[in-house]
Amino acid sequence: MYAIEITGLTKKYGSFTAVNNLSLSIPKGMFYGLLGPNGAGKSSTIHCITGLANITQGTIKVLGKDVVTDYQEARKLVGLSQQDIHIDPYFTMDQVLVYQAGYFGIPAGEAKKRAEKLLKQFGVWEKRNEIYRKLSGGMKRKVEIAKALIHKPKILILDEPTAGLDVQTRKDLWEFIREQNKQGLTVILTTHYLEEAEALCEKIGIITEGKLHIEANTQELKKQHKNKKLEEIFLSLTEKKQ
Amino acid sequence: MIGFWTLIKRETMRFFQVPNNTILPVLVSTALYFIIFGVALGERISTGSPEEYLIFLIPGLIMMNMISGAFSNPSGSLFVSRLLGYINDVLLSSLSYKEIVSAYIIGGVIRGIVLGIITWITGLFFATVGIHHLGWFLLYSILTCVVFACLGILIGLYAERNDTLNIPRNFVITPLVFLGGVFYSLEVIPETLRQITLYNPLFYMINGLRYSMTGTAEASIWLGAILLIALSTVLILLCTYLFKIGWKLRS
Repeated sequence: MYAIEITGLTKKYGSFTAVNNLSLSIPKGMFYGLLGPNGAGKSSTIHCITGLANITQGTIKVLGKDVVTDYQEARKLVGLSQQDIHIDPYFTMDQVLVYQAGYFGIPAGEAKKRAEKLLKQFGVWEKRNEIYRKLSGGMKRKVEIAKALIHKPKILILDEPTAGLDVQTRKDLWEFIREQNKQGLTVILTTHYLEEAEALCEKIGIITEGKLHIEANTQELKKQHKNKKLEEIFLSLTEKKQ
Repeated sequence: MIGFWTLIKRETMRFFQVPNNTILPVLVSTALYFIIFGVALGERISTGSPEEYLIFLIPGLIMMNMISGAFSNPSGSLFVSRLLGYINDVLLSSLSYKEIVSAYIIGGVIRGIVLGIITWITGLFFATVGIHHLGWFLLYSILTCVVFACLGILIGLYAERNDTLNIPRNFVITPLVFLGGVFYSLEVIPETLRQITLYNPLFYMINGLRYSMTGTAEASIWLGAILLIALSTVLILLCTYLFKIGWKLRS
């Protein structure tokens, strides 16, 4: 059974086709990089997986659970850190996390413990009683990622997670995520920082114009291209395509 | 069920977090209505004594504020959460569409009931009104809040701008409430206005609550009850369907 199994996915917005008959299978426990230029269809694919977008055609299964017919079970298995940060402005950061855990059926006592652990892990425990507006951009990003992890998903999708983060914070974040991956968490990463994808992802899939252009083991892909940097390989592949 | 109760708690705590916007204005405007319409103008509006007019007025004002609270809670919450994007917290969760809709409705009902109680307590400073019939009181107060919470959900989903959010309240709900017999009895208005009032659904809701509190009614209580049951059923089904298809929620 795959962590994510996408079969013949098409996503249209009116007459525009964002994802075009995409099929993709991501094994359990993998650190997978979903790459592509702006507008390639990465976020649309992620939104179809997580239920933020309606599927036009095709099926998506998350650890065997169909995201449409068995959406409640499927959503328990996935955590999404979104590209744009969206945090409830009415409540403090610890309240935001406790509510988020509650939506997944986690009792308040347990939710508070998890919120404390994650806020400490991401170095924002001191800001637990602050509301969204009082936080810096980096702190908001950390809370967004904590929200994605609060229900202990089996699959973590990180959509441009390091945008706006300083070098040290990025390093700390990747150490933590890598550790979680070692413990069995499947991670799907979209990023424009290709050196991060190169360092972290076992396998990458490059999407262009809504189609899977290439999918390969990161190291094998580098070998095939005379050990060039992933960024150079990416540019040569996507330029040719475009 | 934890998820469901969490969303209800969130929807309730949200309006308690901002009492200056949600509770205090109601308290002030209600006191002003009692002073102006009840104490100052009461004798001129009513054929009875000022005390009788205040007893007539209190259920109407309770209903008016319940409608306003029940409508505002889900409409404001959904609109702002869509605008700022944090509606995704709920959409990404394992809550079912029925649970989400029910929680937004219950949040609206709670705010409506809280505002109704505040209005009632304020009214007690001017005149004493109790409950004549508890069953009708609960049915009319809760189902009216359900109907307007559902309408609030529809507008909260539909509105793309703040002014769109306020149009139904300013141009539909408020006129219908004011012309629905909050301040006057059918006996004291001209025949044409009386006939128009009888076509106003809010008249039957106000009339029903007034009966449940004072024991006097100007129209059939059963007609109002049937109207409320039918409206709430249709609107709950419509809201659930819209969440299921992701109308204005999912791209």
